[in-house]
Amino acid sequence: MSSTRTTRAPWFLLVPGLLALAFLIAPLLALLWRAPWGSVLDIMRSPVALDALRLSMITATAATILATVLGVPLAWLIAKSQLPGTGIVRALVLVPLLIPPVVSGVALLAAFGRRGALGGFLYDTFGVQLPFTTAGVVLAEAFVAMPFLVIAVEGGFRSLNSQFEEAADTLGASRWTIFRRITLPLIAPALGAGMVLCWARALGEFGATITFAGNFPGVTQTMPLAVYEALESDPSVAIALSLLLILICVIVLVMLRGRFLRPLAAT
Amino acid sequence: MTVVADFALKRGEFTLQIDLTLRAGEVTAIVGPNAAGKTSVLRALAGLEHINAGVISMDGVVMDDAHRVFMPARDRGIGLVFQDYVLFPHLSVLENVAFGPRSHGVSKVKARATAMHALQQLHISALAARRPGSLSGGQAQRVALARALATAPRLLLLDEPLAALDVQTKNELRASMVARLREFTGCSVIVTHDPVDAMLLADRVLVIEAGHVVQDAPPAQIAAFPHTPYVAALMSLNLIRGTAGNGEITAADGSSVQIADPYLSGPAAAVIRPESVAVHRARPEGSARNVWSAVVTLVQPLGDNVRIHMEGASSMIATVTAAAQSELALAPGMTVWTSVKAVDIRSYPLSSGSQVSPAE
Repeated sequence: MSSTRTTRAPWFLLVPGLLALAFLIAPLLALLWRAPWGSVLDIMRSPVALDALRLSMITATAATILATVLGVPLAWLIAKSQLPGTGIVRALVLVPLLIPPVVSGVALLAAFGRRGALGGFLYDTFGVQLPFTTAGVVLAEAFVAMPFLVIAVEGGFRSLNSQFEEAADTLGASRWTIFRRITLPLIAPALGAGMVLCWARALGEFGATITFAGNFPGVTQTMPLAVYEALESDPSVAIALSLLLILICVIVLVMLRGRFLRPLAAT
Repeated sequence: MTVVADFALKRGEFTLQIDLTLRAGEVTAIVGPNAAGKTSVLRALAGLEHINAGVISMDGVVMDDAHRVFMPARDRGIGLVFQDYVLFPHLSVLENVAFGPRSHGVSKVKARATAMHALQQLHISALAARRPGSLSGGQAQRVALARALATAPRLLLLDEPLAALDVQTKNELRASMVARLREFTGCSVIVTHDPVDAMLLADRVLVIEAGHVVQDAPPAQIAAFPHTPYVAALMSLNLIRGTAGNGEITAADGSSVQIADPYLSGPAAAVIRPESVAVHRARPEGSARNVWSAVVTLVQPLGDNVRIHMEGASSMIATVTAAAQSELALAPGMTVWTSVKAVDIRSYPLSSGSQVSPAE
């Protein structure tokens, strides 16, 4: 039967394909190869590592919450509202994905810096300063990571059968009840995937963070920044911290796999 | 409870024009070909579509006047059973049915009790804990009906409720739906393309074609005196429409049919039951006064009989016995002669309005 016959790959696809796979895996294997296995646990338990780890977890989670609270309504507006210019809005949302993160950091400084357009107002009126603070880290991570969430959730809204909302409407539910009890649960797989992507991107954020929030241990030094700093003094520490970051990402993915990434059973 | 729906709804080139009054306890069936506007009527009544002119009101309260007033679906006190049921996939059957009462501000415990009662009335309380994804079509249909009824609607709207089911399930559900709709005290509207549904479930049948009501009458009257070729085909009848006079009806194409009633005049129609149409291989001699030639297009076995579809001056169907068919050996493409006795033709006037008074 032709459907069960294995397709023999032609050499011009097989060779570059395997090369690409090797290219993707080799650096990760090299990390394991070069890891200072004797001292890796001590490095991971060091105050610098623990501080950076704690800060990374807190800021990535806070950035994901911020991106979810603001990004889900934005995704709804793009997907469902018939407002004019949603095409332009969708393109604008993608901008932080495309520009270099360091440029995002400069742009954030221009907006929220002490003399920035919004930052000046915040500082003069409320005495709030965002650059070089933990809140600034959250802001930078949310700025860079929110597009991942918006795109995933917008796809969820777009593919949602609007009859479910109409059925809830005929049963007497308010707009808020429909959104809370029908719409959100039905887009949960897309929302979960978007939040995981957003969180992973926030966890790895480097350029915008170091530009906008600086690199102060315990305050703004997240794991990627700690890795970068360690690389200049002791590469084996950088490798150990890198392994820790990878481990965390793998654990999170495995934990969430069954919860959110599985699509809801079709009706 | 009275619902007045006198409105126009425009969507691009399509215009739906409806003037309809629904009374409490009455079941109205809306039948018509695909894209005739049947579902649009339900959606406008439900508040899922805005009308473009006219008014929809319930007991004198305006629901939609096309300009200033539009009451959203949630406030209209309606129940809608969607064609594909649209059960919420993430909620259990009980939670699906309790969703309506919950949305009306009833406590969780009370809403569940109401839902359980609604499930019991349709004999499906055993399904309460199941997810919609695990239900059969017939079960999902009953759950959808229970969900719509659990809010005690004043107006129940059913969109092709039995269309997605296999024949056996359809027959079972039709019987239980007849019983349930008899108990229902509000108005109900059921959209269907199945004449059996319309005959068994409805007190009144509204035929819509191309956005217009072409006939509005009790089922028995629709079956006996169809006004349009669509309704006639639905009832498996032959229909000839034209102008009556001097004991015949002359159709627009010039062909005519002899009828038994010499006094009928003006716009009129004649129906001929397929059983009354005789089919011959050669031009018949004898007393039959209506003889036409036609070409066989389809030969369809129908139980002990065979239904012959033919195209002549107009399309025609005849039912012959299997014995007659084995003698005639009719096949598509064959030219045949049909004959009908005038006494087997039922003729009646076609009024310009939707109601027609029988005149045999």
